[in-house]
Amino acid sequence: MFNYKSPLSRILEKSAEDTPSATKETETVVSEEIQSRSDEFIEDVEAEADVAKPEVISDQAADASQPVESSDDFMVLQSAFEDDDMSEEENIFAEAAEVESTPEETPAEQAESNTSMAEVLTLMTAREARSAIAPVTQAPAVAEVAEEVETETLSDVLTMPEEETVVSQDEVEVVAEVAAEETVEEVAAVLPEEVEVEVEVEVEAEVEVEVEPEAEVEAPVEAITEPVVEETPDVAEEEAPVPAAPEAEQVAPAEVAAPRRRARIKTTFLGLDHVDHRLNDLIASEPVKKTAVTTSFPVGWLVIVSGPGRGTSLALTEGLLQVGRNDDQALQLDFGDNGISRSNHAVIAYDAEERKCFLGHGGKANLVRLNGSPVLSTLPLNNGDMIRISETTMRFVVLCDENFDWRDAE
Amino acid sequence: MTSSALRYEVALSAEQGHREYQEDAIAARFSSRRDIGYVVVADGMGGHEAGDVASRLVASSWSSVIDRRISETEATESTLADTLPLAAMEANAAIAAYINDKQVSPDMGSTLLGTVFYENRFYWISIGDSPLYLFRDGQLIQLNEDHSMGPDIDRLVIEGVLKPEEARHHPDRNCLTSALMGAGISKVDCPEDPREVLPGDILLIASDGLQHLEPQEIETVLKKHQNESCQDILDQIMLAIRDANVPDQDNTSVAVVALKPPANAAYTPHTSNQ
Repeated sequence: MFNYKSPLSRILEKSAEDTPSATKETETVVSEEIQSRSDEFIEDVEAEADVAKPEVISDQAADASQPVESSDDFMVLQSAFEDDDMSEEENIFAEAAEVESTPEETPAEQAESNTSMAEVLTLMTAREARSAIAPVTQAPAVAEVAEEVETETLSDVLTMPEEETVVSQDEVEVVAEVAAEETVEEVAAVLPEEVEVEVEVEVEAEVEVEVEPEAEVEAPVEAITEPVVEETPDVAEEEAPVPAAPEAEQVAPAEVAAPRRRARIKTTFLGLDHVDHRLNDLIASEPVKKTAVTTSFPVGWLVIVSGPGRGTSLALTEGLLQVGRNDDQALQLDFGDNGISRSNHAVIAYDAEERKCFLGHGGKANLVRLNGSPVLSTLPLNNGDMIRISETTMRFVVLCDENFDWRDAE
Repeated sequence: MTSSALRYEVALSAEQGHREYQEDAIAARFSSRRDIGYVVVADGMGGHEAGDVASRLVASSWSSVIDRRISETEATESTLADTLPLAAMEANAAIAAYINDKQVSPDMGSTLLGTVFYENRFYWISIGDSPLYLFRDGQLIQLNEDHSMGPDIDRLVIEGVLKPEEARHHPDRNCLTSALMGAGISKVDCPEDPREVLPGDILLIASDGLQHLEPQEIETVLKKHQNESCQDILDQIMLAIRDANVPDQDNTSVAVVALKPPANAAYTPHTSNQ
């Protein structure tokens, strides 16, 4: 079921979906630079990648079929860019390759062919349903969750009276398709990564029982990912049920989530201008969560500055970091932007030799843009650069450069 | 869809000039049913069995990716727009593969100027120095970036370092600062948003051989012949290049694209949406 393909041949396939055998004729060039450089820094980095990456990943890569093998993994990732050398790494995204096509097609297909996510999904579904319903039915008890809902609905009113109309055409398409089934995953997607690890376990286990502890955990998370959240919690308690209730009471839980989700995706797009003054505090609380796990010597950060997940920072470590939605991705962008591939949409690697981070395209049928220009080959990253994948824009922030590197001093 | 009254008209030409090899490649395709099409120009470098191969590889692999995308009936405009750079990656990969397979000199490479037309809008991707000109309201402007030393040299003129005459014939003028060579691509010009084609606009999609003519000279030709068919316009341009009688005339490939009333339909008075 997993075909070994170069990233580029996968593009080919996706554009010509029914020719899964059209492959080796193409080669990846994207990474030639990375590759040649990496020859030098593999040795250096390997050791640290060993320390750094597995920690991040191993917790999450519960699925053993997806090889995440510490330093080996790193090596494999490197070689993945040379076409012939595709090894286990392919497995990781072969799965994705089958599912993913172009962004427009993706949501619908994914919703159906979402087998690999199925387990996760069901877990999430429970949570999603709860967090969606909770504010409606038990608003007082779940103040903060309610707040989230409220702001969604509020921003509906403010920014998009007709829900669908304001957003640009393709967004609408995506949103509309997504809304039906994917919604569940999207919301769910937002949560697990951000929630503290211990809490996450707890939260997933419980169903509709412990609403309050969950609310505490989730509220800030949601706030971060949905910076639109401007309103005070007090207001939220009162207002949330009002707009949300009618839907909620008439429709089954799963469907409650859908329309709301739809609204929510858009609010994240449209609400970007409304800067949340609490965002700073929330960002400050971030490192306690997933980033805490990656205590290992960052070389820089990616901070989502627009799109789903706005306000989230991801620490960059040494080694070749893949960007994708799956939880085995070193840089997981799973905040509801389904234009981002499950795995290996883009790669970022720090070259200790040059003391620079480099950005490469993962060969997905969706562009990666650096400062507005499509990334066709490996490009050096400079402080403040804007990386955009689908609707998610990240700002690159440097730590290690010519003036500082963790190797400089013990 | 676009107007029923206006259709894209295209004319292509590729001349070898006074060079030993034809290192340009040019291709176009316009659907007869949908207002959709493309033109691609690739200007190879590296000499015989290198530059010519590179440009053909680039033109063919780029257009085959676009072909596939167009053939998907549900392909939306934004998908198609995204395909331009992805197809360029393909093209670059094709060169890398060729260099690798044939163990040839890695000096071979090619520019890429790919344009995709969708209804009355067009997108482009440009890597290298193949110019994309828009003639509108009597004025010729180059739309795409020039990835050669030309702009740098022109800047030196503005700064007073070089005299205009020195700049015009500067030996480094045609040095590329970005190209598809099967490796990293340093500069890519690929705007996210399309440009609109208005009735009366003339687009020139060319290799840098066209620039044997100064922009003003091209403008003059276009002003004079703008109401003729694309083929006639093209003929006049090629004639002007030949008349310029440049001793080392480079390969010159030019495509002329314009929205014109269909030739067979008698003049339809309503020029509907633009």
